[in-house]
Amino acid sequence: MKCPYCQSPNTRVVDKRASEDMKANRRRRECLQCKKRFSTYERIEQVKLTIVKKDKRREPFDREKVKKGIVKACEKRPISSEEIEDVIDEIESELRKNEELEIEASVVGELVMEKLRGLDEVAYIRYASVYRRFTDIASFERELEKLKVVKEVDVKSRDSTELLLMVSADTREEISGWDRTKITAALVKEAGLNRADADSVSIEVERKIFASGIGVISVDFIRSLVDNELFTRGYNTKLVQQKTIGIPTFDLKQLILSKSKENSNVVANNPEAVNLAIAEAILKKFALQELFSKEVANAHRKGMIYLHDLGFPVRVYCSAHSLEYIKKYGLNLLNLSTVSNPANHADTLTGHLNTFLASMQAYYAGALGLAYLNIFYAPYFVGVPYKQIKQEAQRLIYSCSQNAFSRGGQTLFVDFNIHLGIPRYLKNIPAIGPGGKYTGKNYGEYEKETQLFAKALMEVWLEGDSESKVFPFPKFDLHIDQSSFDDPEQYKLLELACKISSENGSTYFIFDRDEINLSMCCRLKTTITDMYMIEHPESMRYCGFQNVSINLPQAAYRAGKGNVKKTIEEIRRAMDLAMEAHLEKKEFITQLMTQENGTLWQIGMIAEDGRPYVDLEKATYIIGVIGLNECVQYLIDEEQHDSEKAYKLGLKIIAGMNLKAKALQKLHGLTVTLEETPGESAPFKFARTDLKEYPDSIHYVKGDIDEGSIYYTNSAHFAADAPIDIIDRISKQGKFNTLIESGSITHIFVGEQKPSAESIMNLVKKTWDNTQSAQIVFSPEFTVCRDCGQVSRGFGRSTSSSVQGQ
Amino acid sequence: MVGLEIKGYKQGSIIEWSGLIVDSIFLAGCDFRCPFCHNPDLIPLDAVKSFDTNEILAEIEKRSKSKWLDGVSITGGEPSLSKRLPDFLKIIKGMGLKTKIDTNGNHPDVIQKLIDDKLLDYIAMDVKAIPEKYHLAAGKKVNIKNILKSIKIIIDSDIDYEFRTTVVPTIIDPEHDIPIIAEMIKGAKRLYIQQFRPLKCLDKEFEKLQPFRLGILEDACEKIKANFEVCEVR
Repeated sequence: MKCPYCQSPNTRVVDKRASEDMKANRRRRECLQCKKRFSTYERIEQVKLTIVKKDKRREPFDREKVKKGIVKACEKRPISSEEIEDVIDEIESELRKNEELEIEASVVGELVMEKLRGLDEVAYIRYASVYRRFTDIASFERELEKLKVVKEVDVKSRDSTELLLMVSADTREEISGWDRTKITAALVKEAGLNRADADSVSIEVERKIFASGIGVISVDFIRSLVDNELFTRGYNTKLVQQKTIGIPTFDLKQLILSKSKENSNVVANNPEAVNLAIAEAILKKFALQELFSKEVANAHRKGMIYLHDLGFPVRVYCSAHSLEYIKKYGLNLLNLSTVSNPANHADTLTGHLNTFLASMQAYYAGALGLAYLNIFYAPYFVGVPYKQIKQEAQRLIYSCSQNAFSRGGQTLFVDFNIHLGIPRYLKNIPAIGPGGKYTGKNYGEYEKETQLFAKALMEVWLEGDSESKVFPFPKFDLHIDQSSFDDPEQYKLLELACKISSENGSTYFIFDRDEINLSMCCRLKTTITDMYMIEHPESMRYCGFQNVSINLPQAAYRAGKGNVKKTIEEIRRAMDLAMEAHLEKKEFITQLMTQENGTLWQIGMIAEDGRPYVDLEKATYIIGVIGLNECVQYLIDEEQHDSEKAYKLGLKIIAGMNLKAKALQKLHGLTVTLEETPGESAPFKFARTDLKEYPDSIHYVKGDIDEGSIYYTNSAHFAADAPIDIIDRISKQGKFNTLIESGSITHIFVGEQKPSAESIMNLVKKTWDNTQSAQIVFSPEFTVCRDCGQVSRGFGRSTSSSVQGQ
Repeated sequence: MVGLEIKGYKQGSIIEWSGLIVDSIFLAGCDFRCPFCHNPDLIPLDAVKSFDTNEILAEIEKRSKSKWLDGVSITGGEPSLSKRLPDFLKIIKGMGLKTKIDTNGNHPDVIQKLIDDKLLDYIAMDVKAIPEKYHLAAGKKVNIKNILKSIKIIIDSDIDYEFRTTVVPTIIDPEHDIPIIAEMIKGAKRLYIQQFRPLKCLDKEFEKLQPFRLGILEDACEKIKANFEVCEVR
């Protein structure tokens, strides 16, 4: 074989190997004279391929002719002749693979383009411009567009999944060239296909995309084409792994264009709220698909149980925090870029508290409670004039009610626990004062300041904001015990609290019947048994891990009418699933908490006081109760308020649940308690799903079916509109409060009527004396006039035509 | 029961009587025809079926033994028209419960007798308008002397009481009339100025009225507040 450079016949073979498809031998030769190297190929003489030209002329396939075109297109491009030879080999072998003797010239042309597209974009365009005979710039541009694939790429963290891109602020739009091998790679990596199968799928997808002539294609659309291909080939399990978690465009537009109805704690729509809504939509799917087992996820979908805050799978539920922690250690939190020393002044402490709450809100899906707030502020108010104390109360309440930024436009859900005096168990605890230093006195010596601050805070809650609107947050949780009635100073403050309740319903009366009661949010409470916490109040904190509610009416439907025994079994089965959900999430959250710099490292690592901020082994695992009233109603055709029999059956069911919770607690070594599930979406979701699966439910769901606003009665409550008097409601529901340990509340709906402060005091005192009730609140209805901002009692009545209910 | 037609019985109210938890009894029969009356069904004696008085009394007695119930509030209609009211009140008092009636003040002699016989712990009397417009409020001609006499009996009595005025547009001009009403009940302990609600009125035309803004009532209240121990808008 002559050297192509110096024409010397003396060459030698330095390397010989078979081409990939074993259809040719490639020899690397070296010229003995000029030392240059070149390749030769040995092929089987094949059946002649005939090319059918556009005008139907036929001519034999000529490898050289194909090569000429390619070489021309690759001129001055960084492409070796070896690569060109490889391309031509591939083309030829693909043409021969078809076992067709006659091939249309266009097939060859398309094949060449396809190969060039993967090899070099400029070469591809050059070839296409000749082959497609571009006559103008527009057709040239169209072809250029075909090269582009719109794609979102995570810039900062490449190891995050694409799902997070939709909510991450670090995304940017990037357009990159088409690359089939990325599909192959994704299929191998994500779906676990072998390379050959993956290749075959990606080739087919590519063929379809190119055949469609589409200009720009999104990654999502490519994914659906891949899914489609996997589906037709029967790779069902691979499909799930390959699945994108995303939002249909229509839904996304809804989220962006209208107010999210899912979360009542978002004050007004805003871009942060949109981000939160999108994140929740996606993370809900993630939680159901990836975090929870199929069994648990299906139980949620079917409305057997309800996984609360499903849109927040990477957070724990709710919490109580201690002001002492902030007072003693200042602020040193991972999501803050700077560190603060302990506050020297009350106003700085208020600033610290707000920052702390906003920072902490990132880790919790639910409420943030602060225990003994006015007591722990007291050392800062020694010798301070009342006017200044009042000023601080205003600063604290206003700033806390106006922080709607840290968690997607949600107002901080904060509870302030207020005491009218110093509880016995705190009297001898050393007080922390300005600068994080112990003052040398015990809290028992700060009763005066504690009461002054309670009074100041209460006055702010009474006045409302500058337009007299009620502060929805921070919530006013007032702790009551025997001394609230016996001690004249405390009684005076209690009268003020009753006045607030009368005027605007802000007061939540919490009855501290147990020795030490730490309550956090709407209704959660826990009895402190860890004496270390009392002696070191900076370590006084609590975590409600997750809340999973049980659909009691559905348990009854599954058991069948009248079948109480089976219903209780069904409820127990649902509780087992709820516990399973807790354990699954616990395992997941543990990962996030224990990895350094993991998502929940802040609350997982050892905190300033030498204990982990959240200890999952000591957290409370909550099981919620929904629709006891309708459960009873289905079983015996009487609602709870209808008869003593119905009421007793309700008690029996809840007692059964209490026992089951205790058994789960023992089995898993974790605190498991029942909770009266707050309103939220669960009672509505249960009613909606049951209406489809259990047609009988139509007779039991409450609300308006035509308007689609149907629900089950909250927790173990009597129907909201039950013709039952206030006394029965409080005393009968109070009996449930001892069984539903984690938290329960009796709402006294006063509508547009305004009970006097004296009437409220009367009822509070009798509730304390005569019942086991844990908490009561008087709920008025308010209407705010949109035009003049005037607040009036009652709903929907207005001074002008447009009103806004609260 | 003839002479005492109980048309309604509502349990456990904290609204009817400030500071107390009471059951409410609704009696039929009224001599006024207030166009804004919210309980027009209770004007005639037989528009709705009556409860069995003994059953109601048995229920109240049962509830009086709980630690919750403080008293019974009797409203209407116009309770002072019921002949058997004194007997009924006597039984309630015998249960250790406190008693209250709502009245239009048109029957001072009945009120005087109930007070003298110590059958009442509380009276709530409506002062519906200034004397010149009283007929508009009552829907009939009213002898204003009766109203003024009732006011005096109540103020001079040793039982607790309240007066109240519902500010119905077209009947009361808050700025002009409220001070005159305050003068009519001079020396009284309590006056509540009540917002009118255009819901379910005897005269349907009144349901179309737009109530005064709360601010206007509050301004009127503010002006006369000093004359009373308690003077509030509700």
